[in-house]
Amino acid sequence: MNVLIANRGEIARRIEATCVRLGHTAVGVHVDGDAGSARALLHSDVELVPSYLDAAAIVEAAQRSGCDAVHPGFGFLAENADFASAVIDAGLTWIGPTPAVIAQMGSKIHARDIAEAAGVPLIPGFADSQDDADLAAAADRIGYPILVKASAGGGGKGIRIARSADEFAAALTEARTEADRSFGDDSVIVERYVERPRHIEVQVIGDTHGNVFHLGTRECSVQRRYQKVFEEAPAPNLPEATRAGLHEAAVQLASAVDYTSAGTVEFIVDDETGDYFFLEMNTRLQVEHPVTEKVTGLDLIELMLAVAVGEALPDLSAVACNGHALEARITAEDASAGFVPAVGEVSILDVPDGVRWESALEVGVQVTPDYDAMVAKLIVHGDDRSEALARMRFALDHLLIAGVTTTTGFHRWLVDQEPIVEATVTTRFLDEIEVPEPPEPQVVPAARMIEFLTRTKSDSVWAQTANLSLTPHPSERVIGMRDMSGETHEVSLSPDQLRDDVPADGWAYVPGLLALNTQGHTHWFEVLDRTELWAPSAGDRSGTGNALVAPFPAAVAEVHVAAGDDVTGDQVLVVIEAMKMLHSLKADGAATVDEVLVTVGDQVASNQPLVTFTSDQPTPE
Amino acid sequence: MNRIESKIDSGSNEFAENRAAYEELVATLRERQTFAISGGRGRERSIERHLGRGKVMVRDRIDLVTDNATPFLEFSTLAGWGQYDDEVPGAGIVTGIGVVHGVPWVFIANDATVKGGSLVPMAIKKQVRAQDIALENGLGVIYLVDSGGAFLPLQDEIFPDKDHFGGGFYRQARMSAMGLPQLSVVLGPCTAGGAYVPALSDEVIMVEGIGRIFLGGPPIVKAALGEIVDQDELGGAVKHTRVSGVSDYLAQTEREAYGKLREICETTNQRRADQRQSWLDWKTPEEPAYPADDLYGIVSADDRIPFDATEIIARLVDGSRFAEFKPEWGESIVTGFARIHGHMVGIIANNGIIFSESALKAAHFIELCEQRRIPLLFLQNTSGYMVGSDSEAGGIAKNGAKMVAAVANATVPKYTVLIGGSYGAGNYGMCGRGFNPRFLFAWPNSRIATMAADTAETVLVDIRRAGMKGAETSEEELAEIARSIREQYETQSDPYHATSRMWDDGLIDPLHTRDALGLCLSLAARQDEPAAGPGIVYRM
Repeated sequence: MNVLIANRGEIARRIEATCVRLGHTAVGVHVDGDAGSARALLHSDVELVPSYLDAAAIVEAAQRSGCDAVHPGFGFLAENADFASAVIDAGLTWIGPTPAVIAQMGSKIHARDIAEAAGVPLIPGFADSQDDADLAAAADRIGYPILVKASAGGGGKGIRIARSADEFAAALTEARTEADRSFGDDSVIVERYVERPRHIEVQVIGDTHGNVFHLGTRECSVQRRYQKVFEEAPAPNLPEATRAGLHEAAVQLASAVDYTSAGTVEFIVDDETGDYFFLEMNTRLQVEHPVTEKVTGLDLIELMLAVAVGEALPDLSAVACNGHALEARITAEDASAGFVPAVGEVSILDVPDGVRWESALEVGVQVTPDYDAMVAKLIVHGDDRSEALARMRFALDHLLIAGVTTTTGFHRWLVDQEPIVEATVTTRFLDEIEVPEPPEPQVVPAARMIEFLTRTKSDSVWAQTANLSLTPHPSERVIGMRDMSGETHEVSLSPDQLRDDVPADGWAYVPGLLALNTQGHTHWFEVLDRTELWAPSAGDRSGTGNALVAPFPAAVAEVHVAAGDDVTGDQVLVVIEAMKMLHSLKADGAATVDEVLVTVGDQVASNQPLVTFTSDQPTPE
Repeated sequence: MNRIESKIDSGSNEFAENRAAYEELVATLRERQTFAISGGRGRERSIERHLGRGKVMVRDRIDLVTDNATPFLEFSTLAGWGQYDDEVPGAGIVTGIGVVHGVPWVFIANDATVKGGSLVPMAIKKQVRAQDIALENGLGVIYLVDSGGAFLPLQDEIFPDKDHFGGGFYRQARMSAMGLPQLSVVLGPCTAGGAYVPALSDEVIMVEGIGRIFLGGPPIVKAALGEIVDQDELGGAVKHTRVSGVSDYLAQTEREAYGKLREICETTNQRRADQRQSWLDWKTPEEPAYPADDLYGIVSADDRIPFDATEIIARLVDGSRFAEFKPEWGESIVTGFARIHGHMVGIIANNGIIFSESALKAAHFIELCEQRRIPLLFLQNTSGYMVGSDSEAGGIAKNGAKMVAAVANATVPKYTVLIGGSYGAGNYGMCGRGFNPRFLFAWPNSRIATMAADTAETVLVDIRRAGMKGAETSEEELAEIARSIREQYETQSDPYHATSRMWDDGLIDPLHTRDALGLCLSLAARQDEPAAGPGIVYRM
């Protein structure tokens, strides 16, 4: 099979790996300017396309490069039924569910109807009437607590919670008033309010021979603004009845639509009751598929390729779940600054052994704001959940990504939080907790490491006698550094601060750059030569003294200042004319004008003062 | 090369006693060096004032300029010791060799916390000696100038003579012409003659607010011309960088100046410290097989008890390997080849009195080294050439002279360490200061004089007794003469008396000897092969 991978970054590399392992040919696509993605594939050719969303161009690229199948990965066109159709219409194999199923599940209303018909539980709700009494009766029937929310909803406006029948009337009034004010429509619906919701999903896979299997659960409750940041398989701390019900419901839904690829059925699980409700179905491979692969030992992409060409799945009904797997979705974001996107060029990348690392990051790759912030997935497996957590901690304590700020430190903090350790997380967890400030850069330890690492090691006597001091004067060594925030540091190291070795791990050094792992965060330090370290910035330059003087004989053409003006070093104060040329004269730094000694038309001699300043030295800017 | 078999019993009482005595000598050396660095009457206040002005201490300045993890080979730390009422520790100037961007440079840095960096006679001698070291070893010079100028009360000992102030400028101009860069950072006043240090430099940096250059300061200008002008207006950093052009670069801070200085050094296109030229044989170094601190236990606490130079050599050379030349003839001088930090060197070391045979053997060995272009290391520990009728009849005078002449004419780099006595003509034959070794270091147990105090006392009392007034001199008077002679010789042969007057380039701890010599040899190895003299080997 020749597979065109219609995606970029880590998932493109992931799909390629399976293709290569199975002896298939892979071809990638990349967009002009997305140099990092052009390098994502390690063994394959890459076709240039105008956009990752340009279906026609991608189909054409597949044909041009002699591919006979297309894998969409996730995101971009993965759940685009028209793209799937275009691939099929071009005579190529579409590695995914049918366009019809993609379209059905792509519509929330349609998907709910199918789920309901298939006997999959939906969250109980009522929207058939706007009569207060009908709504109250519905609330009683559904059971408290009840969520009253605007039909036109959005942005959290017009939402009230009633925890008992006594509160219902007030909640209804308030929700209606707010809905009317916000949307010009006071209609509401009522539905079951889940106090402790968990996001749990079930991996399914089906083939064209009528087989549909589930491959267990994944816990995805750790979310920030509906984005998953940490996943695990299987979902921990789940009553057996709930787990079995989830598996069964997922298979029922997939069977109902004759699902013929890998897909995921997402549920809300009420942590207090074990009740579960259908949320949506994703008709594609999921970002967090590796945790399922780690506990089942299966390769989901291999299975997708097989079913796409009409092969029958083996019997997967008895696939065991071995141990526990965790995934940290590492994004190029500054967690301490509200997860603002971070950009930069990867300068050091050091991934510890014993983990599964899904990423297309390489040293030299630019992380830009043009694409999804997720740059890597760190996946670990353990015989049980606590072993997996320990491995995740170890991995995050050793992982180094320098050049661009990522969430590794946030994840390291996360895996120590009690709800994670105790497996009591709900989808509200990250909204209710503050992410701590990252630790300060370890300036002196970094300087000590740099001193050791940059020490000349040679058999020259000058290197061999580095510590020779003929007198008791303790020579200090000077280390200059610029940390990742751009701040420069000068550290003087006395002889007793010199290291004679370096720690076994938790750091990496390439000439001129040290990366240190500090509580999971990668801090990096650029080594500065003293000439760079002590170079004055332009603003530090002082003035010529207390006056601006004419550099050569000339006539005054313009005067732009008056006594008392505060001026900066960039400002033109006087323009003089000589040899038919105009010359602008500026102060050397910020200063206050004391006196202007010339007027337009004056002839001035070389070195004649034109403007005086109140201070002897203009103050540095 | 074979390894020297050490016969030292480091468990013996004698060894322990020697060691205890030497540790005291080293403690005294450290104490006195500390005094030179930061001691002296009123020094604390002057250091406080210096730091209070945001200025950096002189040795810290050198640290800020030199590369990390490289040594600073400081010269004559104790110059001036015991002179000038002990008010000018270290002669108010620091000199030595340090590395910048891999290249060795001679540093000459005034210590403004000592009499404002004023130049006493020993300071001039120290500066001129550092320049001579630069010249001979092919090194550029960095001047960190912070000096009030000549110490006028002693102006006649500073100003007029050959190697006085003028000689310094002469050397500066000549070295520049020879391609040895002369760089200055002006960190304080440079008045009158002092103005010529930066003015004769290839490139000059001035630090604003502290650096000033003028031929005549404001008081002289006022006296001569009636002009009243403040010192920065007259010769500040801004004035000289932007108006007169005396300075090439303006720095706001000392650190900025040192960053700039390092950048300038990077552009001087000089050979790196480790750039060995092929004329001098080099092999991967090996640590000596015996611990260096045995040296403390080997050197006799009582200078009348000899110690074996071979044992010293075993603790200085690579792998303690020594190819001894002519081991069974003229045994009171040990000669042979070895390596120090990889560099081949010919060693001549005394084992006591020099006899005719020893002198001839030494002369022969010097000629071998001269022919083979191998540097010479002299380890001095001798009471001099043998006297007596047998010795005279054997021609000790002419044989000693052969050795002296061979030393004088050897063109290979020569190095001398006083490890014990340096008496009489032994000092000459063994390449004393007068024979221009490239470096001369002394151990704190060393003694230097025409003869030992015991000998001097006997000889001079006997001469007095035998002389014309001999009969008139009472025993009491003779005893007084004996006492005063002994006192004079003991004082003047003291190594601190010697190092104070710069008869050496510094007292060093025996434990530093190997490293210091390795550095010195590497400087020679970095240069082209020295031009050879007549290289015939005579049998003697």
